[in-house]
This record gives sequence, C-alpha cells and structure tokens, in this order.
Amino acid sequence: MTSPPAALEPGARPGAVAWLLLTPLLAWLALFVVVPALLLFGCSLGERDEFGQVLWGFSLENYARLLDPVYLRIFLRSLGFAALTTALCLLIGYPVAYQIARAAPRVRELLLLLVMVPFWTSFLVRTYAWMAILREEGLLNALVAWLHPAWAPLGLLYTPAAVVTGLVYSYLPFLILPVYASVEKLDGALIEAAHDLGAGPWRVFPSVILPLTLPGIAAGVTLVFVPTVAMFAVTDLLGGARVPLIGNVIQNQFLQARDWPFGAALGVALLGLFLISQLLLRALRPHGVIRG
Amino acid sequence: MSARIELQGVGKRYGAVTAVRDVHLTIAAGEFLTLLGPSGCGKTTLLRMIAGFETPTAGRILLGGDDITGVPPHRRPVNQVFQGYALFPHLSVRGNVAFGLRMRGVAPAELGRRVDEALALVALEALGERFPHELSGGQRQRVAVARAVVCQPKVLLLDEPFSALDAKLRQSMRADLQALQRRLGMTFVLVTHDQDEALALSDRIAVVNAGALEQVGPPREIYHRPATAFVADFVGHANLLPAERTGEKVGRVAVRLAGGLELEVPAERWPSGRRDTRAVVRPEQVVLRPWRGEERAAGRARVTAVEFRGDREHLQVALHDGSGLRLTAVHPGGEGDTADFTVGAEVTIEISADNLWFLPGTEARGPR
Repeated sequence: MTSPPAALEPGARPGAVAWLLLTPLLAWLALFVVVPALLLFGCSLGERDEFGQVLWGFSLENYARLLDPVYLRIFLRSLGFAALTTALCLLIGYPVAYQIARAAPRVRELLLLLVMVPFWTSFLVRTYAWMAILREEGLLNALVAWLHPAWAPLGLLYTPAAVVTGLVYSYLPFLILPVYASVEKLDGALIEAAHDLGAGPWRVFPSVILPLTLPGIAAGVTLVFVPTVAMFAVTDLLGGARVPLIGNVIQNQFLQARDWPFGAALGVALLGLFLISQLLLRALRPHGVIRG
Repeated sequence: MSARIELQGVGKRYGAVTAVRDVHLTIAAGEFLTLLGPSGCGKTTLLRMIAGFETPTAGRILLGGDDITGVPPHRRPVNQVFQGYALFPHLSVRGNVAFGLRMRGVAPAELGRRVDEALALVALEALGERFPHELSGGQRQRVAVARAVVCQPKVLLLDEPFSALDAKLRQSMRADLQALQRRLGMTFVLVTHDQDEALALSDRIAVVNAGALEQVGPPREIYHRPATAFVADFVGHANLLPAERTGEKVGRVAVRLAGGLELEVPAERWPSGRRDTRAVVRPEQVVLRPWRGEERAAGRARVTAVEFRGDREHLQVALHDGSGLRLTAVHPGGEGDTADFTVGAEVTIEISADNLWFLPGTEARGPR
C-alpha cells in the first residue's frame, strides 16, 4: 500500500506516487540542466579547428588559459560588480520588503503588484529605456541641463555606474520577493517579546528580525548574485565594450570568436564557483530551526 | 521589588470603537490578580496597556507611584509571558533566558549566574542548550516564565499562559505557577477567559465585560456574591430566577421565587430597599427529589436533559408552573439512582435558603 503523498512527514522517503508526481520536474531538470551541463563540460575538454568546429578530445588546455591574468581580472571584476549589485539590492530591497510585509493587507497587495509590474514588459525593452534615460541627449541630462546648465551633458551611459544601475534595477524584485516572504512569516509577537525584554527599536533588528529573516536574505542574495555575475545583455547595452564582464567574454567566445571549447571552460569555471559558494553557505547555516 | 499598579480612569478607543472604558483598578504589590472575561472583552487590551504595547487614549497608569503611561515597553520594569510564549526560535533555552539581561548590558559573569538561577527556578537546568522546537509545550511555558522573571520585573504579566497546554498538564502547571508567585512575592497580572483558572489561582479577580470592569474581588466573593447578572453567569453557571419580597421577619426576608417556591432568606442577602430582583441559584444549590405524587404544585418539574460528567450529572429541568422556566441542577453521579432522573422523569426541586444570593440590581448589568 502506498500512503498518500500529503501524509508524508517532512524528511520521509517519498513513495511511488510521489516519484510519479516528481517525474515532470526530474525530466525537465535532466533534459535542460544535467545534459547541457555535461555537454558543456565535455566541450570544455576539446579543441576547435580553424573553422570554429569543436574537436572532441581530452585536454586541460582551455582551463590553463583561464589562469591568464586578463581573464582572472575579468572574473574578479564580474564578481565585484555582482557583489556591489547584490549589496545595493539588499540595501534598497530589504527595507522595502519589510515595509510591504508589515503594511495593511490591502496596501500590501497593491505594493506587491507594483514590484511585479516591470515584469510585464520585456527585459530588453526596459534596458533600452534606461539607455534613453542615461544617454547624452537623454531624460536625465535634460533635467541636469535645466537645473544646472554648466554640468550638462554628463557622460552617464557606457560607464560602470550605468551598468550597476541597470543591474540593480533589473534584479531588485528578485531580492524583494523572497525577503518579503520571510518577513511576512515573522511572528509579530517575537518583536513584541524583544521590546518587552528591553530591546529598543534599534536593537530588535540585529537581535531578532535579522536572524529570523536570514533564509529570505540568503534566497534573495543567491537570486541576484548568480545571474548578475554572468549577465551580458545589460553590460553590453549600458556598459558598451568598455566594461567587459565574464558574461560578455563567454558570449564572445561562442558567438564572435567561435571558440566554443574555451567559452565552455569559462562557463564550467563559473558553475564551479557557484557550487563552492553554495556549499559554503550550507556549512555556515545556523543550528536553530528557522522557519523561512 | 514588586510594585503596586494603579489604573486611573484608563480607556482605549480605536476610531469609533471603544475597547476599554474608564477602568479604575489598584493592584497591590505582591498580589496575584486575574483579568477574567470572554474573548473581545478588552482584558488583553488592558494587559497590553500595562505592558506598554498600547497607549491609553484616556487616563493614567502608575507603577509604584510613578506615571508610566507614555513609557515605551522596553523601558518599563514589567515583563510578559506571551500567549503561545513567543520564544525566539533562533536562540537556545539559555539564549532566550539571557536575552533580557543582554539587552540590559548585564556583565557576563552575573548574566551566567542569573540565567542558571532562573532555569533552576523552573527546573530546566538540564535543557539549557536545547532549542524551542525541541521542547514540549509545558517546557516552553517554563522557558517563557524564566525568560520574563530573570529580568526581575516589578510586575509579571501573563497572557493566557495555559491555553496552549492540554487539560492534565494545565492542572500541574497552574500549581507550579502559583507556588512560583508565592516564592517570588512578585505582582502577577494574569489574563484568562477560563474561570476555573481564575478561581484557582487569584488573590483577586477583576471580571471584565464590554471594556469595563463588572466586579473586582476575591474568588469566593465573585462566585458567591456576584454583583451583576453577567458575573453570576460567566463565573460558574447560574440560574437567574426572578424573586419577589413578600414579607419580613426578624433578621429574615420572605421571598417568592419564580416557579412558586417560598423561602425565608437572611435579611443581609436581600438588597435593601428593593421589592424584587433576581436570585442567583447555583446548580449545586438545586436539590432534586423524585416526585412521589404530592399535591403541592410549587417546585414541580420535569427533567428535559441529562449530561453525564463522570463525577456528577448536569440536569436540565423545566418548571411546571407555566412560566416555561428552565433550571440547571447538579446531581452527584452515583450508579444506583440514575433511573430516577432520566429524561422525562417528574421531580420536585428544593432550594436551600441560607446561601442564596440576590443581585443588587434588577437590570441586566450593574451600575458602571
């Protein structure tokens, strides 16, 4: 007899019905994640001929090329941009998510809708809109020219600042939503208990609110950090060729340089980096059970 | 170290809704006072105003003579045991108990000693490293108590501290809590809707209804001499029978109850100057006898429902006098005599006159 899946204790072994229900997800993961990752890895061990065709083989040469200071610098720069973007998203997004979660139910629904409205438009269109705002004859420069003509025009587009602005804008909702979910679950009585035990408004945050919303923060940070490291569209459009990041390099290897094996090696290295960081995060997880 | 609390004309309005109105109450230092009332009566709002989570819209709150009306909760020498306990899930038992001391900047050596003492007080020394999710309901409650008393508050507030426990455990936790209060000599203010809890634990009970105090007094007084129909009915069960004064003798008043029963009651129990009022007849004061064909009409009734409760039976009887009046009676549930009191049985009721109480007012609720 199989027990209904709903009756399963968390952590129990799934029964036959559960496996059946999981099949679509597992098939999807196998087809679009595991197989491509293996192809990528296999490709990274090969070489290319002069026409850009992949010659399958086994060589670590592509990985040796990764150690070239040029690529290391680009890797580090990408990590730096992603870290800065994540930090800014956290700084802006956490208070926003907190206020939304603590707002009255009707206001909360409206605010959540506003967070999600940008998704209704294509991501590329929104990035082009930023170009319209930032370029020399753009909206922002028109405002500057009107307020303080001596400064105009400011060179805003194709700068690191433009890239970070675009990245923060694009990924902010990915931080707000998980943080919102964990703040919303936070029991108000815990905050009152902290006040009752002598914690003033500034001490409640680090001692109770922050540790209990950590799962939401971890999810949000992952959702922002991982895609921003490899992002190429925003960096291309808002940064031009002046600020190449690892995403642009990989894109170039595949589309312009037609060096698939090297591009694959770059991709595998990036994947390894994420795996290591996730393992580190798991190891650092605190002992107490946090409902998040 | 415990202190007196005075509520002086305290009121709380939310827009057009009045949650609490004009409460005057003095709670003595070291007293165990219970705020008893149905849900939504304002008892929790009163407690939250003492804790500082709500600000009164009228009146003042004094603690040991100092006005604390506008003082935020983290600066009040008052701690609370929350409903559901609100233990911090990310902290161990020790971490929870130490929280208040940390916030007060107590030095590590003293902090360790005081946490040990508090854990010993609730017999949880062995579980200091556990996390809240690894504890039973009773253990969680004890952590919540230890976490609050370790700060040595002048007043300990308890918001329905037994509601999350099962009936058996509730009994023993009640005794523990009372013993703890006696030992600490701390002022305790308990909020509950459970009259058994209130009667068992309190030095005094304040019965709250519709945002106002109905009656404040020791448990026996509340039960035996309720001031209003609400108190009579909410604390224990009460049959409220219309009663009329028909005459007077030395020290006694002749009374006729609805249903035709004639009694002579001690004069001090009848509200002076009233011609009629209502008698508070507790179910245990109603004595049932099988009807044996007597002619006397007064007190004849028929059993309409029997509810078996193990050690006793609750019986509903309907009077025969045409008033349609129904009474609840308690009958000790022996095994032999059940046949006499089955549904439909004819009975006569008697009410012992000496311990009958009469409401001082005739209206549904006493004067505010």
